[in-house]
Amino acid sequence: MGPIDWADLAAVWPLLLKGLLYTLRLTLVAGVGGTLLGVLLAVARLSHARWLSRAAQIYVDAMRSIPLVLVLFGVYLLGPQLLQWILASDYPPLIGADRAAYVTFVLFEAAYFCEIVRAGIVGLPRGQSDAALALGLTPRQAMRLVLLPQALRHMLPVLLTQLIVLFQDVSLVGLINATDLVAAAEKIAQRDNTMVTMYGTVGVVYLVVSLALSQGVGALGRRLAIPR
Amino acid sequence: MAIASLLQPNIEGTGTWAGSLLIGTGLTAGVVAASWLTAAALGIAVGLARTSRRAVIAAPARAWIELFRNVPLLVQFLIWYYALPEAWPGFKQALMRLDVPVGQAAIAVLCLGLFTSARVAEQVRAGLLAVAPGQALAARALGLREGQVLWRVLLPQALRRVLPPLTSESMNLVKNSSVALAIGLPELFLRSKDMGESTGDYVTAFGVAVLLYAALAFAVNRAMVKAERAVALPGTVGAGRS
Repeated sequence: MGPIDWADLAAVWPLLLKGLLYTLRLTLVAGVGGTLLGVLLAVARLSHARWLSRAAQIYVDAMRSIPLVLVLFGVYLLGPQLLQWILASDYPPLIGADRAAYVTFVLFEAAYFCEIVRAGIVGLPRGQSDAALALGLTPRQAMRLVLLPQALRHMLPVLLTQLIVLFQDVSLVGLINATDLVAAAEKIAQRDNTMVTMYGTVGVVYLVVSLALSQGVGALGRRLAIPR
Repeated sequence: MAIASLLQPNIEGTGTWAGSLLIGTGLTAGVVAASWLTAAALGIAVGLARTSRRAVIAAPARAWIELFRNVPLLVQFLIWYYALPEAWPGFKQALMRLDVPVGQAAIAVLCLGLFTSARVAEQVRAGLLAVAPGQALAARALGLREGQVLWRVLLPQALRRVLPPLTSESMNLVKNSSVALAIGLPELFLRSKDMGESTGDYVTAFGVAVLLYAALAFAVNRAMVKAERAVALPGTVGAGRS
């Protein structure tokens, strides 16, 4: 790799920082939204109502078999048509790249979070749900008060690792013209002809942030482990 | 409406959009196959090195894994295709000697292959660590040399354990290959996007792309399951099922 030109970098760092903040905001919002939707999907997936469990399974399997870029462009380009059809309006509403990005990542990540949460619940000893029901808790209470809290503690490290994957996946939003870190660097690189400096910097930023986060997740996982 | 847009002539003027999507599927399949081989070969080598007790061998392997795992695939594509040729004239000359689509395909194979090799290496490492320690001790006690212990005893057992996680990694490779649209490789997704733009019928274009990606993932899954069964040891749960 050629050296990074610090003078070029000094001139444009505010734009890169703005892009990085966009990336972090999108990661956080989609992470929280995806987790909430993922928990709902996991509970639906484990429901005794056959149709509910089946519907959740179809959603999750479909999302996990489609490339993310296809979902991203699908929401961005077909979302307006779908909304027009649902609202029965005369023209397709504008949703724009930002909203399409948020919707895509919540919908897409929820499928992955669902599988993590489901594995966490299914992995609990059978005695936990039996005991909760024997104590007279309703199935809903057993899920909310006994199973989910334990499952969440078990899977927190895996959930956070998925959040790091999400942080990297968010880099794709530049393809639909949202300005994240990568897209900001791309625009500057094309304007100033500074490919090496810009893409090199972005690579280093991702490497450092992802490495630091995964070290943190590893440490947290060791602290959270339930002694047996 | 769906059939009609598939039968419209494509922008290259080489036939219909249906044909164009099929050619894209073939290109995606070819890139996936070549990067799979690259990733498997490099992944096994790096995974082996990662478990070495000698730091001079283990440390570079660890760096390799962290480097290719912690930078997003899109950024790796941009670095390989746009930044590296600027920083390294020799690389640029080699790239310029190829036709544009061939160069793009070569970069895609390189990029996807190295990206996936880091993940394969982690699986190989886990597989090696999961082999019972008595196996290596017994092999040495029988008088096998270190190379033989690895090649004849540890690797055959470790690689069998690696196959199931490798199946899902191979299906990820099919999906990840669509990121190559960022460097303009005319693979399946880029062609379906072009079809949507040209015909205005994104529903059909993306719907067919979803089906073709599912078909590719299914084919990869079948091939991996076949491989798993072919090498299953007699007496294990995986053996004898078809």
